[in-house]
Parts: sequence; C-alpha cells; structure tokens
Amino acid sequence: MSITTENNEKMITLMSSDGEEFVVEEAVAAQSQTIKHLIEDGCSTEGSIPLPNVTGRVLSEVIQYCKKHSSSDDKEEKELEAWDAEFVKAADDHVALTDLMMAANFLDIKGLLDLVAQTLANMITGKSPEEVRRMWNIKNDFTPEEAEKVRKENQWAFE
Amino acid sequence: MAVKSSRLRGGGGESIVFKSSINDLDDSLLTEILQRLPTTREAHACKLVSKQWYSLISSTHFASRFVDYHGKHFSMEPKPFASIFNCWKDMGETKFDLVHHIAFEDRFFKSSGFDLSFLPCSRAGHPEDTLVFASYQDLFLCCSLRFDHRVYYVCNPLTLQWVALPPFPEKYKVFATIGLLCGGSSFRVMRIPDDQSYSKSFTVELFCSEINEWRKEVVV
Repeated sequence: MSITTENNEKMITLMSSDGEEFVVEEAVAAQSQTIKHLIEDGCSTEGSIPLPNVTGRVLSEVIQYCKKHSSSDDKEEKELEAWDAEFVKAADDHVALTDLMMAANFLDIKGLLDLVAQTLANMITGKSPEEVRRMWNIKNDFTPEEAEKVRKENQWAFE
Repeated sequence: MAVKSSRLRGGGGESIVFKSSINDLDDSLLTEILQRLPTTREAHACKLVSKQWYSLISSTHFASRFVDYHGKHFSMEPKPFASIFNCWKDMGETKFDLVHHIAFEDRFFKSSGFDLSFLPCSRAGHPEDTLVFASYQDLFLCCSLRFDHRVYYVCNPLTLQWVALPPFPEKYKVFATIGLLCGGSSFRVMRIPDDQSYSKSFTVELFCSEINEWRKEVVV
C-alpha cells in the first residue's frame, strides 16, 4: 500500500493486535528495526503491517516516541532527554511500562527499550526487597529459612 | 513513585485489555532492567525479592552483563592496564607507590571506578589510610594504616564485599611480607613477618577463610 503525503513522504499502515490501524510516515515506522526489515523485505506492499504482539494503546505510545525521535537530530540531545523523561512519565499513566518494554523489545527500538528499562531500574533503586515486591505484586516464594539463608549470603548488601 | 499494579488497572469503562506486570517479563528483559541498577549492592539486595530474581542475579551471565553495561556507560576510554597505587603522606606531601597492574581484559577493570572507601577502616577524604598489599583475581588484600585500627581486609571492590580478618598472631610484628591466594570459594593469606634473620626460628602465619583462623607455623 503506498499512500504519499504532500511532502511525498511514503506512508505505512501498522495494525495492532486488537485491530487498530495507525498510518505513519515510513521514516517514523523505520525507527523500529523490526518494521524497517519488514519494509525492506517488501512485506508492507500488501496493505498494512500486522503487529500481533502490540495492542493499540501501547502502539500509540510507541508511535509517539518514534515520531519525536525521527524528527529530532543529535543536536537537540538535551531537549530530547527532557522529552523522553516526560514521555515515559505520561506513558506510565496509560499503559503498563512492562508492556511498553516488551513492545520496544519486539519492535527492536533500542532507545525506547533503554528508556523504559532505566525507568523501571530507577523505581527499584533505594527500595528494600519488601518494597519492590509490594510495588509490583511480586510473590515472595521464599520460605523464612530460605530468605534467611539468602540474607546471610548477601549480608553486606543489606547493611 | 507509586506504581499502580497492572492488575488493578484496566477499568475506567474502557474495554479491558490485559496489562502485563514485571512478573510477566522473561529473564532477558528482567536482566535489561536489573543490569541498570546503580551498584552491585543494589543488585545483590534484590536477590531477596523472589526466587526468579535470586537465580537471575546469582548467575554468571548476569554478572557479566552488569559489568559490561556499567563498563560501557561509565568507564573512561579503555586503557591497556589499570594500575593501582598506594598513596601515603610523608612530611605533609602525598606520595604514590605502584602496587598492582591489572590487565585490561580483567573484568574488574571494566567496573566504573576503583574505590576502597567502602571498607570500614576508611575515613572520608583519607585514601592514604588504606593500603593494598596484594590482589588475586578480583579480590584485594588491604590493610588500614591507622595505628588504632590495624586490621587486614579481603575485599572485592567490584561487589563491595569485604571481610575483616581476625588479629594476626605476631601482633607486635607489624611489618611483613604478605600474599593472597584464592581457590573456589575460599582464600588464604600468608604472612611472613620481616626481620627474622636474627632469630633461630622462622615464623609463617597462614590464614584460611574456611576456618576463619590464623595458624602460626614455626620452622626451627
């Protein structure tokens, strides 16, 4: 499918797992290495590119990120960093960051994967194991004896 | 920052879409997150979160990913060698003494910095307090030079782990040649006090980490 805009920019249609369609410039979509390779292999000629692992809500966040990053050049690094920080904060309200991370991984968008992974790491930093568990509903599957053993092994890390 | 659990979200009148949580990430993505923790101490503390986290953080794969990540993002340009200097004050002048070279390939070198300030004998702003006497792989044998605190430490500057050795038997013979040897999960420290030429016997002190004791061997 080849729609072109006034700027002669080639457009690509991406289809989310829940059937939502997003029409974006090829340069935006190509921020994703996975999509870039699909385009290069000619997989986009027949209608839209289906992305079975990514929901529409997540894809819309991903596209926001890609739009910004395809239109900014390296000189605006500082501004881009600030934008990233705002973006990930806002995204956290709309989607699970882990979904965004899995999408970034599947679509192979390194910058986005870095951004989300760092954000999640920052959330862990400075928290006790108990607080980390509570934050993400992680089940404590250690028996008290096992936990004590791990604590002893790593005593230095808990002091 | 409070994170709403994904399981609690998804309401609000919209179609319910399954939202993942950190529990749904596979080891490779969890590694992506945990390797970005600022220190190995933070990473090790996270072992207590769950069994999945424990086995992931305990793996050698994780250790090498962590070291690679921090090496890439925080270290200076690679240099052929890292050199470790002892630093001391002589008549008010700071002097340096080269003790060890570590090959560039050594994992330790890829860490973000060398600092012994995590040892309990270190005082802030006084690097001259602590001397490195020997190194073996990633372990260092250090000693405090403060007269009120002459204790040997075996430490890993990468993981910030340390142990203080018990007082050595020949406590009045503070000057000695000393060496460190590691194997498996244990280490040994050998200490030969200086100035034994006038004596008829020859004393060697040996510390074994398995029994956490010094043994004194006297050769007559």
